[in-house]
Amino acid sequence: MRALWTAATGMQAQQLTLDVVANNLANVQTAGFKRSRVDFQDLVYETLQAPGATSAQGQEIPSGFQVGHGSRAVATQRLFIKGDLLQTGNALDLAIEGEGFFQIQQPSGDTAYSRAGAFKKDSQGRVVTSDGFPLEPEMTIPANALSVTVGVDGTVSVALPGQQQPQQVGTIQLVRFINPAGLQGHGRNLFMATQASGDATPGTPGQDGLGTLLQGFVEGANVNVVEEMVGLITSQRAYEINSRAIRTADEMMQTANNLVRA
Amino acid sequence: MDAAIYKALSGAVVQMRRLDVTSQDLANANTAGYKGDRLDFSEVLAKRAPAEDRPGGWVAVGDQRTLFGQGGIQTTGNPLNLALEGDGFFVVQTARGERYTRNGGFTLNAEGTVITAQGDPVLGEGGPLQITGQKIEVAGDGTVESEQGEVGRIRIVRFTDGDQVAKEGANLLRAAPANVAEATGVRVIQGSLEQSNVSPIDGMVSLISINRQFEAYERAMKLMDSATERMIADAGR
Repeated sequence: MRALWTAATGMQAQQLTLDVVANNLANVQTAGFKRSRVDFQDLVYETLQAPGATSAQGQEIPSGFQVGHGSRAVATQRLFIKGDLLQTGNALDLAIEGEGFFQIQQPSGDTAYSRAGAFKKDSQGRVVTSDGFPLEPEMTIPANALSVTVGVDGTVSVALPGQQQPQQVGTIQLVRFINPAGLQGHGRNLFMATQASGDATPGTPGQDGLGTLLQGFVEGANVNVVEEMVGLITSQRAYEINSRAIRTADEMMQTANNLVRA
Repeated sequence: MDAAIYKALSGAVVQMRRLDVTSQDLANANTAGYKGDRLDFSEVLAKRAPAEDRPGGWVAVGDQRTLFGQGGIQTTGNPLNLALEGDGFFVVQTARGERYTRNGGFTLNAEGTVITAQGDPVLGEGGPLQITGQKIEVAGDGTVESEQGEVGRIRIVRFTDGDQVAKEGANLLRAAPANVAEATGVRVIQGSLEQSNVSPIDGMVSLISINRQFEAYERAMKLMDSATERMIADAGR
């Protein structure tokens, strides 16, 4: 009986939904987090009777008979919808208003991409992420700086004691991708470019469709708790009904076993 | 030997087929754009007997049809998630030829071509759709606009005979070219997906009825068996 295995694929698919929903909910407070969704497909079909075939009576069968083998998860899609902006007042908290990603230098020399703009200073005054990975292009805030100002176009300037004019210490560049959904999640709020995402196109904030920078704000997660809860309920019910199909298959096999009398 | 026991057996086999189809539907209760199936049964007459004297009573799967009823529309917020409202299908260019789908969970590849989760291009009226930049806007009539302006219109077709459509898995449908016509009046809804049109409640009821009917056939078979047994015992006395 195929039904047992068919229903099992349904349960597996729902289990995966649960894993993804749980991850979304776990990151409801993670700055710059983007929620994922699972896409499903039906599995291949076995044709028991082809449409248009000729029956034993010589008539053409109008429609065939195909039995499928269940469903499977085909992709997890990351949704790059904007999260809410939360005001923090911290000078190195930067939110991107619009498209774009920050470039984060990895210890391996690769560049990772992030929307989480909660930056810090390290002991040398470099602008780094919470994990200590430097922002690219690298910039250093002088130790005696009184205040840091980040312009909407990414210009970073500092006020130094005894100087009237602010001094520019660097410019933050953003990058964009033709297909952000193709980026690979890397943990620590970082994404890596893949073949599917295409190469990163760098640019100045506010130009070529890139968003502008907003100082003193961070972008919250784009997880909607109510939506996730609804997803949770739907997948739980689907899980239940698939388990019910397994039970029916089991009971029918038991019935068939009862045919043979001891 | 009495044919009755085999008639009951044919009924039991049909219930097993029904379970296979029902569990396939239920496994896809959350698959976007999935369409459920229904089985029709037909009575099979004994062969070779004169036409007026054919004992009936055997049952077999007559045919299976896919129910193309509209599924619910779920908002996802992804600009490349498209739902269809009305009798129409997206056209997908696969290596095996054109295939059709109601699952509008599309994405872009590195070149900016609109593709399915499987990686096959989705066809517009003038071939694959090429997006430049990140802005993607799809109007209700299927016109796609990106940063450089209009890039094309999504091709939507319908089947002249829905019974002659085969499911191929991966949310794709296959149909003969003669069975495919351009569709009109189908609305494209951006940022949404069409849910599976399988009703879990119907599925639940089907599961119960399949189980009970199977049991009934089993009872019938047992009953006929004990009748035969008694007959043999009586005749030998």
